Amino acid sequence: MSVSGLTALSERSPWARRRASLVPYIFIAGAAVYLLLVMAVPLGNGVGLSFTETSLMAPTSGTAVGLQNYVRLVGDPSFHNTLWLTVVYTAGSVIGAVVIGTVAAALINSSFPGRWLARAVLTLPWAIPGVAAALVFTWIFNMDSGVLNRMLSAVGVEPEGWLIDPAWSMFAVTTVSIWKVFPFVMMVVLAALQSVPDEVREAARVDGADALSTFRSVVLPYLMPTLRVVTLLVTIWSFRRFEIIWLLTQGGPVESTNTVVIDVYREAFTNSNLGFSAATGVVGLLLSLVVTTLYYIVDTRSSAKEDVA
Amino acid sequence: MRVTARARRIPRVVAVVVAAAIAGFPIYWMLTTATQTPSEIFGDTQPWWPNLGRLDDAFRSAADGIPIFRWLTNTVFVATGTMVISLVLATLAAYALSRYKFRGKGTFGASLFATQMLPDTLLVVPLYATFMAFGMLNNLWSLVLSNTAFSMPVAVWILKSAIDGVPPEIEESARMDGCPRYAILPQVVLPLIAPSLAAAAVITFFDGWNEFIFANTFITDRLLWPASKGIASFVGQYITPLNAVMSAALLFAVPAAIFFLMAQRKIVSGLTAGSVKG
Amino acid sequence: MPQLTFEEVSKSFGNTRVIEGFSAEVPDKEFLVLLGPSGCGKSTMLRMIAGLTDITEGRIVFDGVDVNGLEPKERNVAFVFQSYALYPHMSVRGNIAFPLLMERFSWWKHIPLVNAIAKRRLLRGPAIAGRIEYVAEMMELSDYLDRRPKTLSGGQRQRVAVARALVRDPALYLLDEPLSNLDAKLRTQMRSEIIALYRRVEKSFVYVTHDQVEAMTMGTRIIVLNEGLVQQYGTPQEIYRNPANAFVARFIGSPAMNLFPGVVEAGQFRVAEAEGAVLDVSGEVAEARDVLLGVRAEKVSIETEPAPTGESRGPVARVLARVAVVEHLGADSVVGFKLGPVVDSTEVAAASRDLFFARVPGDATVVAGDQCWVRLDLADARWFEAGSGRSLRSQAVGSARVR
Repeated sequence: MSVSGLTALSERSPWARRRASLVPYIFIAGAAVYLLLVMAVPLGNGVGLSFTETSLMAPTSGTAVGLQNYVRLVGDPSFHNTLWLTVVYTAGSVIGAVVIGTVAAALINSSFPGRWLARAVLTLPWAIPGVAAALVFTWIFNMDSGVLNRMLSAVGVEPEGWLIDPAWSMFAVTTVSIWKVFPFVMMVVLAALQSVPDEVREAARVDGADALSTFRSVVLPYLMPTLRVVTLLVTIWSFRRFEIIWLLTQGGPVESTNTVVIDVYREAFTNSNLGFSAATGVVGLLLSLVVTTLYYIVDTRSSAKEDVA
Repeated sequence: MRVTARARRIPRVVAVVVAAAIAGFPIYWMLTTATQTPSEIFGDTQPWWPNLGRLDDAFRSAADGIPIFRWLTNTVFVATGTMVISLVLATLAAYALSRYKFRGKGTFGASLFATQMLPDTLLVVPLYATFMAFGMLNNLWSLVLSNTAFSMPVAVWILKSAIDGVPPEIEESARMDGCPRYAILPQVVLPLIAPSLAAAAVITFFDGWNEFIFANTFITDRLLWPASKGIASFVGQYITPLNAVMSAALLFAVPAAIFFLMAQRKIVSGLTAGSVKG
Repeated sequence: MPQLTFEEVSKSFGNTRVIEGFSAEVPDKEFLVLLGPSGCGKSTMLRMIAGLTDITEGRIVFDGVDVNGLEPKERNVAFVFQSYALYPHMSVRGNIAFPLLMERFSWWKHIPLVNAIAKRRLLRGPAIAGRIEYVAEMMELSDYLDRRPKTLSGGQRQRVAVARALVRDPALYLLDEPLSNLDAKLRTQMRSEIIALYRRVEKSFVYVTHDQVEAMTMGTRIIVLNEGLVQQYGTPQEIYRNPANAFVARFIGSPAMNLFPGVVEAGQFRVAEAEGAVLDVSGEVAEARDVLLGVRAEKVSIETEPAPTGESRGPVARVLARVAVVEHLGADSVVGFKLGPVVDSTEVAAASRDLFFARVPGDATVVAGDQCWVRLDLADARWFEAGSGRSLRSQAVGSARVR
């Protein structure tokens, strides 16, 4: 989109031109200053906190301890556990949401009676607030009176303590996350599917391909850019996701769902250890930056390949 | 094997029904639980169907035992504040990003994107300390300010691609017609991006509506809680009747659901525009 | 008003020079056409006149007033965009009224709600409403005033764009390829409508186009541009008869002027690949080496025998040629030919770029593949230097000798 006429201005006097070139800065001033004050500064403070030992009661008067928190972190087995759980949770959520979302999009893509209704219902998990979802799932997963266990015992399966058994807690939490996020994937992929030109599909049909192989060899390549973007978004969101885990299990039981963001919060507000919490957060942030960078490298390389193809 | 078109559709329809059932079940269950009496709920035999006749009662009992309307008022305040500030800042920033080339443009754009990667929990502590220092803890404005920081970049994203779609000649035409530069935005650009403005409004409003972490941390006064914190306070506790809790949760969830369903297409296209090729 | 003066005007985007310094004086009330191929800088020049793009060096002067520092609206000009740039969210009436409203809006009237109220009130006022109706009638838009641009056809939209310019009664009308988005028939119709408008308002027009037919039929003065350089400035007649260089010679006229390449040696010009044509030349032509002989298609005729029968009023050359293609246009036909004898009956049809053209009466019976002689009437021939393309002056050309 060219901006020729608007960036070049008709005033010729140097004063007017300088004033004119300030215009874009005036426009972004509000947003830039805002982000500086509400994001950059606290972020800086957070990083600074990570080099201190500070208590929640007196958040501004901590003692500087250099890299002590980080050293502790690196050697701490429960932090390793946290990292591992984060990877498991994120990978599980992402794979689940992307696969199910794509399948759902493919299912919804043709017309059938009641399609709009199905689509609305399928979008609901994303549309309702996370807190409400957490609330109802706590009830569903309730060991004694939850409807899930009722349904399972009705068909002869052992009821489990979904949220209170460390063996199942991660599964439960991941499932809820997938449930919450897959509609977003579905909507994005659906939009991409609908932009696949009909001729391409018809050509495949004429060549004798059935639905599944058409999908694999013709449609999937079209979807790749979209899938990559959506995967990145869901990965970032999963890494940040707090309320579902917090409300369902608080990171327990026995820290079996203690992802990085949960850990950061707990360290600060339960253990009153602000410095350590900040250090954990910084490490987590660095890891997510690494993941995003990796994503961009992979993305540019495979889209370069696609451009050549 | 010759399969009729309709028969070929059956497995697909079945799959869709199953998927929809799984997706919709929790909300359905919310409705069910909301309309039953505590004795029905906790017995071994909670009925499967909602008792729609009791819907009216349910909401009334919710309002009785739970300050849900108070909480929702707080939520509306936070959501509106988030929306207004986000939109104002985002519109100006999006216009600059779309129409101008300037030094630092790339950095600015990148920082906007970077904010979406920051985990809220990392920022909670410093913000908590700052608000405490300003005496703004237990003040809904602390939530508005924190939320806006995260939702404004999303609005910029949506609005920028909308403004990209307005041909620059229209603005030049307005200039030729005597429209002063500062008026081009309200006279010409904004009316043309109205749908995206609406989508951005919905997103930022419900960002504030749904937000939990900051609400959980900054507001201690029970009556000042936004509904997200209020509803969350019932998780795992069964003292307050569950049907009342579920009714309250419904009141909290339904407006968000309705608006998101209405705006979904625009939201999705706004969020992914420009980042997807082709 | 205004007399338009360009003083050493040039334009660069960063380090790229898009318009070389040029100067010209255009009298008042002319229909000036900026003509050239895509990317030559003509739109940029128009925008500089409008004030939408600033000038890197030089001045543009309206009636003696330097307009460099003036905003577009202060220059009293109106601009019709190639894409019309109508406001989609306003009705036709709103579009036309917009300039009038902007004149009357103080800063606070732009606030969204106040804006709507102020608009409505002003539109009801007799001054504005009357003017809108007058202009709408002139552009035959009276029935469409309450429609949205989306519901209008291309021609109607264009008329709205013109109406919006008209309503301001500017001193200078600027039009950026307004007809290029219309189909051929509509284009011809709108061409005459624009000329009618020009005659009616009696103001200066500056019109940008890449279509030389438009330029020749509409303009009273033409500036021919190529790659940022002004090739020639003059009336259509001057440009047609006296092209300043090979580019202008080929750009103007349809079919393009024939430029026969050849070599000058010892005062004699020999057409390349041509049997027969040797001409005595003088003047600058004689001093050059590789030259181009420019002869318009209507000065070329086809003969089936080389017999130099009939009188010729001036110098004439005859060259052996073979017919490549014949286009029957009804009253005339255009014959595309290549020099030299018929080589091979299976010769592939050449691209029109490599052909020369003759305009012959419609009942001519030549057919593709024929061997023939072309007769070049050299009375109005022009000479150009092969490398630079600049025109060369020469005295009357000596008669040809057939070898």
